[in-house]
Amino acid sequence: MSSRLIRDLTTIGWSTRCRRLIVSLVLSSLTLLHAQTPEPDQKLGRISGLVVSAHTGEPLKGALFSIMGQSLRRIPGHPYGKPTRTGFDGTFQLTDIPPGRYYYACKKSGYEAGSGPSGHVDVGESESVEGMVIQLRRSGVIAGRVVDSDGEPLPQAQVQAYRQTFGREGARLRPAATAMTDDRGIYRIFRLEPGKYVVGVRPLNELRPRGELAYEYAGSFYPNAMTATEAAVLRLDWGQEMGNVDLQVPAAPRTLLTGAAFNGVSGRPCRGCVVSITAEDGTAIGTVNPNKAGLFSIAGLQLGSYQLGTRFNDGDRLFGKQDLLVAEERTYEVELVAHRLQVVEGTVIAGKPPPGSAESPRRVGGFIVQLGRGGGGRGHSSQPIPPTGGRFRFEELAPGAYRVGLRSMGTAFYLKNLLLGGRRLAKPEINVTSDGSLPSLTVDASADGASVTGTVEPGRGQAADVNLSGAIVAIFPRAGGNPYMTDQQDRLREGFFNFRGLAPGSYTLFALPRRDAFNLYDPEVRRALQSRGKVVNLSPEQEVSVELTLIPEP
Amino acid sequence: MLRRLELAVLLVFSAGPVSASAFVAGTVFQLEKGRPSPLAKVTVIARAPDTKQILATARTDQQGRFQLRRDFSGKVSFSARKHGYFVKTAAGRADSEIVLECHSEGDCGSVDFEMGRAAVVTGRVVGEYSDPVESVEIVLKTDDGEGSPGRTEGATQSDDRGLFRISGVKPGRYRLSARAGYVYGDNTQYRGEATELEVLEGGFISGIRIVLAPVKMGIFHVSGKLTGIDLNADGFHWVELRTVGSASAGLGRMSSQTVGPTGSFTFAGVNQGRYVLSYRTGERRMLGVVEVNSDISGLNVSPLPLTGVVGRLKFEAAPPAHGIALSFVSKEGLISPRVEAFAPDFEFDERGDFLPGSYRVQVASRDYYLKELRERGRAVSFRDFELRAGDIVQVEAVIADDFGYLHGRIKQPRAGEGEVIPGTHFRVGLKSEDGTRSVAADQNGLFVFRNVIPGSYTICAWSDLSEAEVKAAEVWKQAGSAVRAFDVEPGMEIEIDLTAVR
Repeated sequence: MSSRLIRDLTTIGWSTRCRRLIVSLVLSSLTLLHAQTPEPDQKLGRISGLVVSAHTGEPLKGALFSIMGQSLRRIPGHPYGKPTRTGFDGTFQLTDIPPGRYYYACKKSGYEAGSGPSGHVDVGESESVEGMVIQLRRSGVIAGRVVDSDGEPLPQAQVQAYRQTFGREGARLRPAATAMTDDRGIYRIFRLEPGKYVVGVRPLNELRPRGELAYEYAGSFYPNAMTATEAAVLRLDWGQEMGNVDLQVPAAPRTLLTGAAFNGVSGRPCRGCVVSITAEDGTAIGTVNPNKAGLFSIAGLQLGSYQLGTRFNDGDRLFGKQDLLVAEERTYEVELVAHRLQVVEGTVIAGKPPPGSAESPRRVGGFIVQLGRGGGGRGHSSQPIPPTGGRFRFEELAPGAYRVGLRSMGTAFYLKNLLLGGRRLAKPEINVTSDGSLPSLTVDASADGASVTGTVEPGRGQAADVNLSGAIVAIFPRAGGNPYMTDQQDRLREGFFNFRGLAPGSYTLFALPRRDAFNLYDPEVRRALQSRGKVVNLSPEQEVSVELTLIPEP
Repeated sequence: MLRRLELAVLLVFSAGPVSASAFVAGTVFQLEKGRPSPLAKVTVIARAPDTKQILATARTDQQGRFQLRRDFSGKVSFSARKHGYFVKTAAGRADSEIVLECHSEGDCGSVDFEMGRAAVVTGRVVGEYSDPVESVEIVLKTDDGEGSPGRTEGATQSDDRGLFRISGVKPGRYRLSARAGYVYGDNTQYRGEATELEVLEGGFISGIRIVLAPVKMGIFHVSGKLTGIDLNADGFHWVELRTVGSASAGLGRMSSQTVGPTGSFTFAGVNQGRYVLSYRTGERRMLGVVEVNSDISGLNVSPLPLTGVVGRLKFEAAPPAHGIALSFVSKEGLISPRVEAFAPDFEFDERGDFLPGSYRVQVASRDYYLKELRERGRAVSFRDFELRAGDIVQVEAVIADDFGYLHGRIKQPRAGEGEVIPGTHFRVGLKSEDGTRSVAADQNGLFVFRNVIPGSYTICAWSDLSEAEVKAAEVWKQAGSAVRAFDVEPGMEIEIDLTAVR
C-alpha cells in the first residue's frame, strides 16, 4: 500500500502558493469526479489524521469528521457516509475507502461549524493518506438576560442575533442565530462566526382566540433600543464569549388595529385566510387568522410602517395587501381586499447549445426563470426548463414590479434579452398589473458568457497566513454598463473563486474578508473601494484568470 | 365596505364590556406558609371543551383577580397558565381545569385557581471522554410504567457547554433521556441512559450528568425484488420499511428506497426487529411483514390485495366543528392506520394502509369515544374489527361523549379519620383491557378521572412504588391500597374511596 503524508490541509497556515497550485487541479478534477465509477474489485484506501485546537494546538477529542463523495454513494450503507468521532488523542482513521475525491468537514461542540466542506482529499487505489491535521477555532457566544418592564425575568422570549446583509434593496438585518430565554430570563446564543451582530428580542404575543393577535411586550434591541438602527453593533471574534448583553422589554404600546379581510371577487369574507404583518424593512412580524366573518384585530403593535398581506384559495387564488402607518397609540381600522392572482407565461430560447450538451444532455441541466421582488417581497421560481429551451408559467403572481433573472443549472447561460410581446425591454423588469394584461415573455438565454477564476492574496500589512475562511469575492458591473449584467458573489473555497455565465461587459472584482464587511450595493462604497478592486473587461466566451488582494476589515 | 368595519368593532376584546355576554370572574393564588398569596400576570383561558378552541383569555392583576366577559354559551372549560407554575386546584377540585355551564347574558360563576411552583431540572451532557456535547435532545417524559411511552413534560437541547435546563415541571415521576442527532460511521448513535426522577413541587434538581454511550444501530442488509407492479408507469416507485414496536429502522421509524427498473431494492443498515414492508407511488400498497435477524436477500414480494375500511361516523353527541380521527390499532402490534373524517358528513375511505388482521378501533380525541361499530345497520362489535386480505369493509361508527366521571379519596387509617399523612404522594391507577392510566392525588388525597369510557375497570392507589412495579396485577394487590373492580355505565358519576392498608 502506498502512503502519502498531508500536513496542515486547513484554511489556517495553508500557503498561498499551494492554493494557487490547487486551483487548476480542482477545476480540472470537477469533470473527473463525474467520470469516476469505482469498480467493486478496486483496492481500497484509508485516511487518518488529527483534529487540534487552532488556538492552543491541543488535540480535540470527540470531534466529528465526515467525508462526502460520489464514490461512497455507490456503495449503499458504506460507513463513512456518516461522521466518525475523534478519539481521546484527537485522531481519526477511516479505512476501506474506495478511490476517489472526497470533500471533508469537521466540527465539534463549541467550535466552528461551517455549513459546507472544509476541503478535499484524493485517495488513490490502496493508498494510505496520513497526517491530515485539521485545526478548529472556537466559535463565539453572546449571552445575557431579558427582563420585562417591571424588572422581572421574561421566560420563553425569543432572542435573535442579527447580521447585516446587503442586497439590491439596501442593507437588511437577517437573523443569524436564535435562543429562547429560560425561566430566569437567561439566554445563550452559541456557534457564532466572527462578525458584527445586533441583538434583539422579538415582540411576545399573548394566547388569544382566533381572529385576535395581541402583543404583551414590545420588541427591543440591545441596549434597550426600540429599533435596529439605534441598536449597538457588537463585534465578535473567534472564541469570544460576550456576556451581559441584557435587554429590558417595554410593555406593548396601546395601539389597536381592527380589520376585515375579504374576497374582492365574490365580496364574501375571506375563508381560511391568514393575514401576515411585515415591517417596512421586510421583517416578518406575525400572523393572525381572521374569524369566520373575516374579522381580525392586532393589539400592541409597535409604532412604525407595516404592510398587511393575505394570500388564500377561495375557488380563485387571491392576494391582498395594505400599507399601514401606526404613528400613535390609538385604534386603527383597515380593510384588506384580496384580488385574483395573475398568470405570467413565456418561453426561454436558448441561443446556442452549450458545449457538451450533445454528448451528455442529462448533465447539462437547464434553466430556472426567477422573478424577484424588492422590500422582502416573495420571489418566484419557475419549474426547471430543459437546456434546449421551453415554456414557463407563473400562476400566482401578486400585482407589482418584478426583476427577471435566469439561473442556469450545470451550464453557464445568462439572460441576454427579455422581450415582452416581441419588444425588447431596456431593463430585465416587468410590471404585473391586476387586470391580467401582461403579454407573453420571451427570455433569450445565451451560452456565450464569459468566466472569471482566480485566487486571493493577503493585502499589504496582513499576515501571510491570514485567515481566508469566510472571505468572499464579489463581481459587480461597472457604472453605466448593460442593465442585463448582474452581480455575483462566491465564497472563497480553498483560496480560489469561480464565476461563470457572465454577460459581456466591464466589471469590478472585490475580495472581502466577510460578506457583511462592506455594502457593495451602495455605489458610493464601490467607488471608495474601486482602487482596491480589479477591473476586467469581458467579451463573449472569454475566460479570464485574475489574482485579487484581500481588502482589510473596515 | 365600511359596514364590514363596523362589524370589526364588534370583535370583543377582554377589556371592553359587551352586551349579550356571559361573565366569569375569579382569583389566582398560591399558598405561602398556608396563606393564599395572589399571583399576577397569570393567563386564564376559556376553551370549548370539545375542540379545545380558545374562546377568550384574560390576565390577572396585581391582586390575582381576573374577569372574562364573552358571548359564551354551553359548556366552557377554564384553565390557568403561568410559566414556572402549575394548577393544583380549579374551583376547589384537584384538577387543572374546570368546566362550567354558561349562558349568554348570564353569570357563569366564579372560578378560583390555586397554583403551585413548578420544578426545575438541570444537568450536563458529556461524551465518552467527558467532553461537553451540544445540541443533544433532552426529553423529560412521565414515567407511566414499562411499555408506556409516557407523555412529554418538557424538552430542550444542551448548549455549547453541554448544559441543559428544563423548567415548568409539574410534580410527578419522570424519565429523563438524551439522544445525539448523529448516527456515526460505525452505525452507532450516542444516547444517554434514561434517568428516573421524582420531582416535588417547587423542586430544583441539579447536577444530573448524562454520559452519552454508543448504541449499535442498523447492521443488516435487506434486499429483494418487487413484482406485480407496472414500474414503467410515470412517477417515483418507493419501497418503505416501517418499524413495528420499539425497533428502529436504523435512522428512524421508517426507511425508504426507490425501486430500480427491474424492481430490485436494497435497504442497508437495518436494525434487528420486525418491519412492515410497503410500496408507494401515489397510494400505499402493503407487501407484508419482515422479521430481520440477519442479512436478508432474494425477498420476492408483490402487493397484497387492497384492504381497507369505508364508512361514516354517526354522532350521538354534538359533532365536532371540523373533523375527528379514528385509530385502527393492530392487535398483532403491527400498524395503527389513522382514518380521518371531516364535517359535515364525517365520511371516510381508507384503502391500502391496512394489513389483514385484527384491529381495535379508538377515537383519537379525549372528548369522544367509540360506542359501537355497525355493518349494514347491525351492530357487529363494540370496537374490535377483523379484516381479511382483500376486504373493503363498510361500517358505521357510533360516536358518543357520555363518559363516566370518577372521583374519590385515599384515606390512611393511621393518619386519623379521612386524613392523609402530609408529604405522602399517592398515585391512582385505572386499569382496563385498553391499558392503564393514572393521576396524582392532591395533598388531601383527592383524585379525579374525567372522560372514563364505559366498561370494566380495576382501580388501585400506591404511594411508594413505581408504575412499572404496579403494572403487574399481582403487585397491585400489594400496592398499599385495596383494589376495587367496578363497571362504568354511560354518563355515570362514581365516587370511590380507597383506604391505604399499610
